[in-house]
Amino acid sequence: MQTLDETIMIRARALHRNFGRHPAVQGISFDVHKGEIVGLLGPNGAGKTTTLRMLAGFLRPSAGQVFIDGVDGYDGEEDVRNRVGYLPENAPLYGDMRVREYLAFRGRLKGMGRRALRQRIDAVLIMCDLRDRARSLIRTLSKGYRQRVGLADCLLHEPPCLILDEPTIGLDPNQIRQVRTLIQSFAESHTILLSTHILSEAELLCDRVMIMNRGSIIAADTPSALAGLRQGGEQIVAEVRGPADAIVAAVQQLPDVQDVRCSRLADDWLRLCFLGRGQGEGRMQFHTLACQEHWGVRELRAEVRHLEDVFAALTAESGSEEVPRA
Amino acid sequence: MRKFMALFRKELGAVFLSPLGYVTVAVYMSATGWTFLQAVQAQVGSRMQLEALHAISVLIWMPVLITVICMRLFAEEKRVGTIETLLTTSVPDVTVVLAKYCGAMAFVLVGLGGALASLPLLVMQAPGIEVVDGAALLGASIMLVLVAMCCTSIGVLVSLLTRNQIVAAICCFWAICVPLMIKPLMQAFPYVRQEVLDRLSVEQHILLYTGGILQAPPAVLYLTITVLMLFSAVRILESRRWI
Repeated sequence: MQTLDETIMIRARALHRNFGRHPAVQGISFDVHKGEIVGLLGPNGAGKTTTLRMLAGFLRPSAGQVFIDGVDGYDGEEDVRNRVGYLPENAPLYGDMRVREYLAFRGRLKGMGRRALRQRIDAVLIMCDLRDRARSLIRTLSKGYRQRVGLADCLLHEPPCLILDEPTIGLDPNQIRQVRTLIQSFAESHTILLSTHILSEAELLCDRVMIMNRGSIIAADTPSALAGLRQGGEQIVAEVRGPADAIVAAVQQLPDVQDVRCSRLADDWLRLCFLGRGQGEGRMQFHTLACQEHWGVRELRAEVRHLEDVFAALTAESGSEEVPRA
Repeated sequence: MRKFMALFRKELGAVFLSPLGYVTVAVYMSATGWTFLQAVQAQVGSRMQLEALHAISVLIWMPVLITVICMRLFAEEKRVGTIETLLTTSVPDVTVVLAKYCGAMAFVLVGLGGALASLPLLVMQAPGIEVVDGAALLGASIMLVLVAMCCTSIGVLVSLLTRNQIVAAICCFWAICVPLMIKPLMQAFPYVRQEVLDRLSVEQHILLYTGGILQAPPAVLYLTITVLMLFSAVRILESRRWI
């Protein structure tokens, strides 16, 4: 069975997955378009790994359908596996093999011919900056290098789609940066769906993010749109000098301002925090009022909200719960 | 076939590129040789075919040899997590099971071959024995290979059921011991007829084959169990997608 829309690389429809009686994934549907980097976020036990495993063909959905590059994940299982490069969590590898030997083994499992495989191994070793480690035993490699070997394995058979389960988990900040750069370099020629706990990483890497909680997708959009969506305007901070009661009363009267809070600073200035509706209207109205009333203003800014805030708010609202893993 | 060969070679490499394989084979050969010499001394004055005695010595230690190789087959892959990368490549489950089974069998055959080939050397250590009957040795070898095929398939199946190698080893050892000790176990039930016990007894089959009576039923029995176990292993491997 083929999907008709050729711009879609991954299509999930009403995916359900139960472990015993426990629903790990509850009827999620989403599309990932070709060339996109999409992040799957969520607290532990949200169902991210189960979802990725279903997409990669390691688990079968209890109900629902998966299409990869237009091919049904059930009817065309082998075809789907050839189209997907899957990196499981913690990049499991055979420690007793050398890097080149491991890649050759994986290439043969993926049905690659000897000559093509040799060329491709050289290419992925360069892409993942593993040339000087090609003869190293995998068990002697650092976690960062092991992750690169896992990524090299994903790229070996030139799949159009990469599914990466927490590719930077357990790495130090330098290794995270290196792996992130690597993933960004793949984005030109691959569609990437990755799960991560590091929200700043999702903001930096992903064109779109989906936030999962308790087996459902509770929000999906671009990171910046999600931040705006959650906020419903902008959080404004102002530092002013003048009579506190009069200032608060006047600001509360402004049409596009709400939720005004005031605190007195050590140098007798007042800090006002309020929510301004729209894109800057609240700030404009406050500025006009301050000029009219001749208040001293030394700071007026809209606070930048990050995906982390949205994530915390959304998952707190819907509650989070640990579910058993496969 | 390329995928099968890749997995098969990997399995061979895991055993023969580490000291584990060589140490196990050496210990196995020593144990069978020692058991054989002890049995020869115990049988002085009685009539017992030498080749059958040797084959039974080889058989006694077979569960240990098979357990050592089978305990890690799938349990190790599950523990490390490589089962996930293995099963998300386009390798059919049946190929995975067969490649692992054949890899384990190759190792078991090396151990068995070494133990069987050592008979002439052991005979030199036993006073009063000069001739080894090649045909009887061949008959015993055929039966031992059939039994090994059956026991290795049981080991593959057991290894699939757990991710802990120690649990796999214990279960594997006892699961293999049961068919090998079927006669003494069944003798506990007085209503089981002796004829039935003889038909199921591995020892009896070895005596038959060593005596040149190459009956089909024992061979069919072991091959059937092997196919059944491997079929179950494939089904269990497939079922992990659903459970």
